[in-house]
Amino acid sequence: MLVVIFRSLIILVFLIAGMRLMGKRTIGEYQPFEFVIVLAVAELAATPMQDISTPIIYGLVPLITVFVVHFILSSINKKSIRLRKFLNGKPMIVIDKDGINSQALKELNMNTDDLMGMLRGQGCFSIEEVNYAIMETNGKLSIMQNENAPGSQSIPMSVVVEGKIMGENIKNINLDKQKILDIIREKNLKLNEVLLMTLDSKKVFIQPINGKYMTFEAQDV
Amino acid sequence: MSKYKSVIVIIASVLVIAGGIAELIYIDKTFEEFIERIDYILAQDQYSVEDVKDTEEWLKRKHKGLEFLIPHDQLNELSISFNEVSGAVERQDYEAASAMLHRTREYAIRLNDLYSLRIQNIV
Repeated sequence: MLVVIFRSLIILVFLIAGMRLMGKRTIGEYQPFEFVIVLAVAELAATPMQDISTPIIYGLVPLITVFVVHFILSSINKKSIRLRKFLNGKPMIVIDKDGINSQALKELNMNTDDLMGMLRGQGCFSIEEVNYAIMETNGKLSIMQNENAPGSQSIPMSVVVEGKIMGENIKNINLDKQKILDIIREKNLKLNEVLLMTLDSKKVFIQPINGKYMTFEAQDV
Repeated sequence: MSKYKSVIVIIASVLVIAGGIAELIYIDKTFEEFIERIDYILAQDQYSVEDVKDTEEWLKRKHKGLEFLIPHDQLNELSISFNEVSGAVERQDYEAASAMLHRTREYAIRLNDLYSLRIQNIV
């Protein structure tokens, strides 16, 4: 048991020194390649702590190697924009004046629900409230709010997401499927062309997959 | 601060690389000597107890150093295997001793290969 304690202490000292070398960023701020390194380090540190039949250098050498590689990559990153783009990707505009950029979402492997969740996390409950939203390389969403946006009466309810009607949501607001289809048809759209449709009291928001979003008051909803 | 970090990284890299090279040389030399000792024993018509005991003592000393570099299970297997040789030679069971010596020799060659810098170990 004492052996495990000593081994754990030695590895912890190296881990702390290595993490200090990586800088003062928190997990949410790591770039993709840094996140990979943190994951690898966690795995590398755990096994040699407990497996006393393996010399401790089998844990320390990979740890040092990973930290050294991180330092070298970070140093080159500071000077090379090309490498930075290759390792970290680049920020992408996911919401612009036309609304949600579905192509950007596809490239980011994100769906509309992910985006709406992130927007809500930033205190925005509708696309209209946002002029621009940028997905940063560390996975955080930066938004430029639309000061002129009309305030929401309530939380907009998603009724169509990526061409699919949200059955449970329309049941909650006592709306029938046909009414949703009629509204969409009135705007010369097909269901599968709608990326997002929300209802906020009588106010309808429709974001087509291609084209600018539209908002209007709907009757009988 | 960045300068200090660079210095630390350079020192750590040099230590790891130098340590790695030293480790390779140490393991290779140790196993080579072990194999040479086994070959010397095998070359005799009747295995000498003194030679075997001498190698056994030598292996015990090397075992402690190798424990820093090689997983203990594999080292223990090597030592136990050679101790069996020692027992067989003491009983003058040279046939069994010969088989065990060949087995130990092959195991030492395999271990040396396992810890050498070879493409097969990297890929």
